[in-house]
Amino acid sequence: MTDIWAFLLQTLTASGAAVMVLVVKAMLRDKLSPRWQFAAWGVLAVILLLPAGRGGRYALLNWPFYVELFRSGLTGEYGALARVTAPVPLPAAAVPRTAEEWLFAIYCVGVLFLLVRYIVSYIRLRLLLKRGRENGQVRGVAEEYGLKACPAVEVEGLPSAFVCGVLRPVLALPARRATDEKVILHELLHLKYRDAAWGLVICFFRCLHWCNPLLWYCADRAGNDLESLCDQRVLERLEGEDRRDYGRILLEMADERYARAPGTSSMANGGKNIRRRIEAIARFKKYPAGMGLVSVCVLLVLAVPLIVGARAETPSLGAVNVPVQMARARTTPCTTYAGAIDTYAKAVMTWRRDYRAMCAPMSEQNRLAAEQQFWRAGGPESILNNVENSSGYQFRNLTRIDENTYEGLLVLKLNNPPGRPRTGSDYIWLAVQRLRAEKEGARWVVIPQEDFWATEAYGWKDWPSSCDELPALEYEARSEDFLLRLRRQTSSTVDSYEQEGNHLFGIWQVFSTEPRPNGSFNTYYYQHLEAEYTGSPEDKRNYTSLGASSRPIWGEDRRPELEPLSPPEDHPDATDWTGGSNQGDAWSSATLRVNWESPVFLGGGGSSVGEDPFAHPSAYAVDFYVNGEKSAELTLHPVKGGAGLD
Amino acid sequence: MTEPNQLYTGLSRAAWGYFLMHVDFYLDFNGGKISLLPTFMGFLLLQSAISRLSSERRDLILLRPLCGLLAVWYFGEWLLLWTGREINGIVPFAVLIVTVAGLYFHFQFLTDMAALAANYQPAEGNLDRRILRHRTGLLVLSTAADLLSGIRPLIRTESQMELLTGGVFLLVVLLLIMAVLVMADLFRLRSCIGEREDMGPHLSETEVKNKLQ
Repeated sequence: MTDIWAFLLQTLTASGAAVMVLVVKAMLRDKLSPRWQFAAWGVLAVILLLPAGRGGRYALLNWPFYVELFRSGLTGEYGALARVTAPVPLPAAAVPRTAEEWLFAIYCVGVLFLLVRYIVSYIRLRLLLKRGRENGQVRGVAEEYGLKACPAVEVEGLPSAFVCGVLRPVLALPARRATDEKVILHELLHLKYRDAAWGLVICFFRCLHWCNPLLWYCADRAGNDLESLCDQRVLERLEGEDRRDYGRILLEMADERYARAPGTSSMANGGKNIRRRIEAIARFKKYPAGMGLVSVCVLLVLAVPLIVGARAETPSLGAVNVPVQMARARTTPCTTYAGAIDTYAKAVMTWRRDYRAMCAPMSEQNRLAAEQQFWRAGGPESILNNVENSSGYQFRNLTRIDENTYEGLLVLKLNNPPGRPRTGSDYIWLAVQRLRAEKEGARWVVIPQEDFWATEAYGWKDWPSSCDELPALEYEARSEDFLLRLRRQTSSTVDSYEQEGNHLFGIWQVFSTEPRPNGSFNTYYYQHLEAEYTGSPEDKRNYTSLGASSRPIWGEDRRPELEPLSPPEDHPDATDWTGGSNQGDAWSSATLRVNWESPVFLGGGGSSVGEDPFAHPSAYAVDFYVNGEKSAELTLHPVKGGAGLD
Repeated sequence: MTEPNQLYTGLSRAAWGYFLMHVDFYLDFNGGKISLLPTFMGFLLLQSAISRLSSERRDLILLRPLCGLLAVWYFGEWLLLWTGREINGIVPFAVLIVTVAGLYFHFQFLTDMAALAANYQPAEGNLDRRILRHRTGLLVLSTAADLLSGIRPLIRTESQMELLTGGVFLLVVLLLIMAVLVMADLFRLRSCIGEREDMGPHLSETEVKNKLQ
C-alpha cells in the first residue's frame, strides 16, 4: 500500500469479506464445531494478506469502483488507479505535501505507534515474568493429561493464568492463589497448539487496520473463537462433573480483568466473550466423523469466491454522470491485448467515452473526462461520423512487437463515402487506423499511432478475404515474362456475435457493440497469388492459359514436390478452376481471353491460423503452368513486410 | 413415537423434494423463462418433510430456518426468471450465503435420514450406510461444481473455458445421478417403515450415533 487510496481499497475489501464471514458464522453458529468457527477466520486472514484488486478482480462488491468514485468526487482526479502492491504500508521517503499524502502519513504513524506499543507491552510482560516464582503444579497437571509442560511462574497481581510467548513460552499463574487444574489444562492446551502465535497474527492485523472498527471487532471475535476452541479441547478431555466445574470456573472469570498483550493467550477474556463461550459449552458435543468433511467443504466454498473474486462487468449505458462513468471505466481493466483492441474499436463505433477510458492510458483519463462530446471533436467532416457498426470491425495484420506490445490496423466500414463519390456498387469505403496495444501495469491500453484515414476497397460487402488497398506480407519470384506475387494478410476479431430471437420465430446473430475486455482474438489468414505480365505487348497473344499450384514452406523446411495441376474430378473438362486447402495449399487455372489484363489471379483463400497467429510461412513453393504445361518450379520469397506487415 | 403414516408421507415428500431440486425444465418466452419444476417447491416439500419427521429426529428442527431461507431464495429466483433477470446479478453476495446454507442443509438432512434408516431398516440392512455414501457423494460433487464456478474469473483462454464448462457439465450429470440415488434411498427407507410391524426406534440414540460414526 503506497497511498491512502490503496489502503482504503484493502481495508474495504477485507471489511466486505469480514461481513460475509460473520454472516456465515452466525448462520452456522450452532451447527459447526468451534474448530470450524475459528478456521473460518482463516479466510479473512488470507484476504488481508492478498493485495486487493489484483488481476482487476474484486471480492463481493466492486470496491475499486467505489474507491475511485470517492477519489474523483473528492479530488477531481481521474488519471490514477488505486493499486495495492503489498498488504502492508510502504510509505515514500518524502515529506507529505497533499492532504492525501498527509492522511497516508497519519495512517503509517498509527501502524507504527500500535506496533511499538504492542512490542513494549510484550517486553514489559516478559520482564515481569522473569521476576516470578517457579511453580511446580503445572508439571503434575501436564503429566496427568499427557501434555508437554513449559516453565511456569507465579506472579503477584495477575488476574488470571496465561501463556506468554511462542518460541520460549512461559505459563504465568497468579501468586498466592490456588489455580484450578482445569485452568492449567486450558493453558497447557494453548501451549500444545501454539495458540499464542495466532494471537500475534491477530495483533499484526490490528496494527495494519487500526482505524477499521469492523476488523477490530473481527479480531476480538477471532480471539474469542480461539478460546472457545480451547474450551472444546478441554471438554473433550473431561467427563461428567468436571465439565460442569469447568463452566462454573469460566463464569467466575466473567468479571476479571485480562491481559491483551501480543503473543499471549489467556483463559479469561472479558464478560461478554465468556458469555458466548458458555453458550458454546452448553452446545458441546463430540462431532461425528463426517462433520470434518462438510466443514472443509463449507470453508472451501466460502473461501474460493472471496479469494478469487469477480471480474468487473463492462459499464452499462445507464452511467451518465462523468465521475461514475470514468470510475467504472477505469476499474474495468482490459486484461488482454485483444480485449483492449476490441474495446477501442467499439468505443469508436459507439462514441462511448467510458469504453475509450477502459482502454486509454492513465495519462489520458483527465482529458477524456473533460471532453464534452467524445470523438465528435473531429467535427462534422470526420470520417468517423459514418461508421457502420452492425458489421463489426477487423483488426488486420496483428503483429507482436514484444511480449507487452502488439500492433496492427483497425478497419471499420463506413456507411457513406467521406466527401467523395463511390466508384461503383461493388466498392465500399473503409476507415483505417494503425494501433498499438501496450501493457500499463495490470491493464492493457491502446495508443493510436496515426489518425484515421479512408480508403476504398473492392468487394467488401461481407468482409471478404484479401484487400489490395491494405498492407500485406508479399512473396515474389520471376519466371520469364511473369512476376508471381503472393499477398498474405491476417484478420483478427473477438467474437462479439450474440443470438437474438427465439426458437418459435427464428434465431439470428447480431453484432454486439459491448466490449469484451477479457476477450481473445480469432485470427484468420488470407492469401492470393497473381501473375503480373512483364513482357512486351506483342508477345501477350502467345499466352492462352496460366495456372499455378502453391504450398507454404515453414521455417527451414525443404521445398516440397507439388502434385501436377489437373481439373477437379467432378469437372474433368473444365478449363478454368480454382481451389485450396485449410493448410494453405492453392491451385488454379485461368484461360486468357483476347486482350487479357494483367495481373492474372491464380488462386487464393483463407482459413483459421494455427496456434501461433504471428507465424508466417518462410516462403511458398509454386509450380507455374503456361499454356497447359509446367513452365517453372518456383520458390517465392518475402520481399515486403515482415514484422510490421507493412 | 411417530405415526407410521406421518413418517411415510414425510419420506415421500423428502424424496420428491430431491427430485424437484435437481431436475428442471424451462419454457422460454419474450426474454423471460418459466421454470416448470421450481426448486423452491422442492424446499417446501422438504420443509413439510422436516415437520413430519422431526418428532423422530429432533436435530431436524435445527434445519427448519435454513430450509425456509433456501425456499424463499429460490422462490425469488423463480419469480425473477419470469422477467428474464437473474437473482445472482441483483444480490451477488447473497449467492455465497445460499450456497453454503445449501451445502450444510443437504449434508445434515441426509445424515438425519441415515440415522432414521439405522433405526428402521432390517437388522442386517445397510440402507443407512448407502445414504451416508450418497450424502458424501452429493457433498463432494456440489463442492467441486461450486469451486469450478468460483475459479471462472481466473480463466483466460477459450480452451480453458471449454475445459471448465466440460468439467462443470460432467459434475452436473454426476450430481443428477447422485440425486436420483438419494431419491431411491428415501423411497427404500419409506418401504422399510411400511414393512415394520412394531413402530418406533429399535436402537437408542447412542447406538445410532455409534453406528453412524
